Amino acid sequence: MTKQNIKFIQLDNIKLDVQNPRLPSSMRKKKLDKIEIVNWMLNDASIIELMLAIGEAGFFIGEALLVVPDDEEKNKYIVVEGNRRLTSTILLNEPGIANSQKIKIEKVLKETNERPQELPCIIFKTRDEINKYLGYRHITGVKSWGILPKARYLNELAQDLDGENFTLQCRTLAKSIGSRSDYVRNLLTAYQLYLKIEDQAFFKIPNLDETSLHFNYFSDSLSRENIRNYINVDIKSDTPTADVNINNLESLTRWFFEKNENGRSRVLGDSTNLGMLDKVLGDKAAKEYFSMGEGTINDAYHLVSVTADSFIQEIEVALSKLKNANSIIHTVTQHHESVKTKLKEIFSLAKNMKIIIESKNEETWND
Amino acid sequence: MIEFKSLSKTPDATLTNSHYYCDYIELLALVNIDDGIRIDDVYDRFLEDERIRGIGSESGGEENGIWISRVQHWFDELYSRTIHYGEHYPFISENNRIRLREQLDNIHYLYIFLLLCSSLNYITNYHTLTTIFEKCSYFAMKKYLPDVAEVHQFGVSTEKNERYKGKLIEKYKLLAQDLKLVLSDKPNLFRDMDNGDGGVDIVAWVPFKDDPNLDKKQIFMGQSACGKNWNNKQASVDRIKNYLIDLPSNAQNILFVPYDFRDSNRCFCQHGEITASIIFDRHRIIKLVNYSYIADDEIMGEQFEKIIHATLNFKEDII
Repeated sequence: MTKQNIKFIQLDNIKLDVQNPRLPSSMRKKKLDKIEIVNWMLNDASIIELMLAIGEAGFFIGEALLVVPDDEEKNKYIVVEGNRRLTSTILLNEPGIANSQKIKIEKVLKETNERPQELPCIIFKTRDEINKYLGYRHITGVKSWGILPKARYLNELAQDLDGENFTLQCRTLAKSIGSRSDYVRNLLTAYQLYLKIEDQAFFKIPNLDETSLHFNYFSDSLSRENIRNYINVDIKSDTPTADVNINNLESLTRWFFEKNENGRSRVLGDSTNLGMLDKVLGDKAAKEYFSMGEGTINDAYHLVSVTADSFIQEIEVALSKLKNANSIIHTVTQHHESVKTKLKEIFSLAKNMKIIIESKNEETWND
Repeated sequence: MIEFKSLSKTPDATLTNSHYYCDYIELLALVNIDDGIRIDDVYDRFLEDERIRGIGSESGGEENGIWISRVQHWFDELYSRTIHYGEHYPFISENNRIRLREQLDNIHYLYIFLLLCSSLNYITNYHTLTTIFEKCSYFAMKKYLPDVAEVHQFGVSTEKNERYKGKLIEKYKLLAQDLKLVLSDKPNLFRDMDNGDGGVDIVAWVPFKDDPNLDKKQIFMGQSACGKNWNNKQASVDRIKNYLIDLPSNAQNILFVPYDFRDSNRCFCQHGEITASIIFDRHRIIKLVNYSYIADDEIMGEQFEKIIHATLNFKEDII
């Protein structure tokens, strides 16, 4: 490693990084100005506390920004590491550009005096020189990124290892960020799924975009064998998502994120729900029931987890509904014609079920 | 008057009981000075409270991911509260952020009050809260039962109990008379100076009109429980059998809790721990009790308004 000196650079000459993995892809693709990035960071990255710290004690030289020269503008630098600190310093000097948290910012300004105008920076020639450190700091280290930014960043690093097979890429990346290779493999595979979903315009699911899609639903799903099989991901292969079943990936995404009229999705991505979904997708009848219908994952799960308890629960639900109907029967002035047919059906069903239960309880076979 | 303690100590409830964590986030949003609370803010609280310990180790990335997911699920659960409580909900939950409504009305105050009752760990001088909650339980019970029902407070925290006053034995004598039941004469059951409630905060029954027979009717014995030890308070009816020896076995055991006892699907969580016959949780209480019942109450109304006022005026210092 070459020796680096700390240099103080004027705030105006330091630019926020449009390639910052924290920023959503949709933003990174646009030509962003400072105000847009500052406001995104303000809403996403606990900036107020940092503003307080810097406003109170000034900018600590030991926390120098890691920058690279801007190829497009002479004497300007882009911060590769330290975007939160730079955002905080910008807001201390230009609080008016904030679109939110204005009360807190005003309070910080009132209670602090330091307004750094030049910041300690270590200048690197290229991003690559900083990248390894970044990986450790944000994926394994103290101020971690969210899961999607991590995966996006790992994916960018993986591009540099293009000649190597996937397993080797995961191992190399894991070593460089001080993490485990199966963790890296999981994140990269989930990211490939994410890219496919993004490529399909999030399957046009209302209100679904990068900020509302919970990436961890996919990374957590990959540890479930039946869910993996359903979308056809071979997690151990060198090309785990080469043969993904896009239709099933769409179904999975809809189950996770499409909201019904009560604002609920069919499957919440916590471990209980993912566990149920995995069992349902491993059972032909339950899978068909869930895929074709609109019921919750709980209903489908009951098909694969029938016990005496769950059975009686179904009966109790039906009985309670019938009791409800019975209690309001007199308040209906004109009943539908079809009611009698349905009541007859309920009667037949009840009779048949009783016969089945009784015959099951018989100890001997009667010829 | 109540005061808030530091909110930097994160809840220590079992993680599967996520409603406690959702309440904590709502409390943070309640006392937030600005645009509300985001996933990152909550994550930072747990990090600073050293609950996220693996950072920096080989499994740091994974642990960080688990915690981000965890916090995100709490926000999902809060979103489901938004839908379920509708106009009664004092918060707005959108884009992974929750904030207090700008315009708060009477309709939201009961929710805020119940949230405070669920957050006693973060509040000093909470005695007034539990006293008003008992009254709130009374109103919920009264609204739930038909108009002819007799509903009374029995708990010791009642400052002006109209019917059941004095020592425990006196209270039970009167209750036995009301229910036409037999009071036990076992030694040491009622001790001198025992002014407690014997495990009951609310008593209720549904009489048959103009019938001299006072027995063979529906009886309800309720306990209000704001603390986390609510599950130990459910055995009200069992305890009362020591005092009223012929209490019928179908007497209903009622539990009133200020918690939102629901998961993301709005189904009861901690189902396995609920042994009460009927439970009144935050959602049920809000659907039964009107803000004005408490605000207009001669004894509690003023204190209730003071609490709400003090709460809405309190904002957590960001420094």
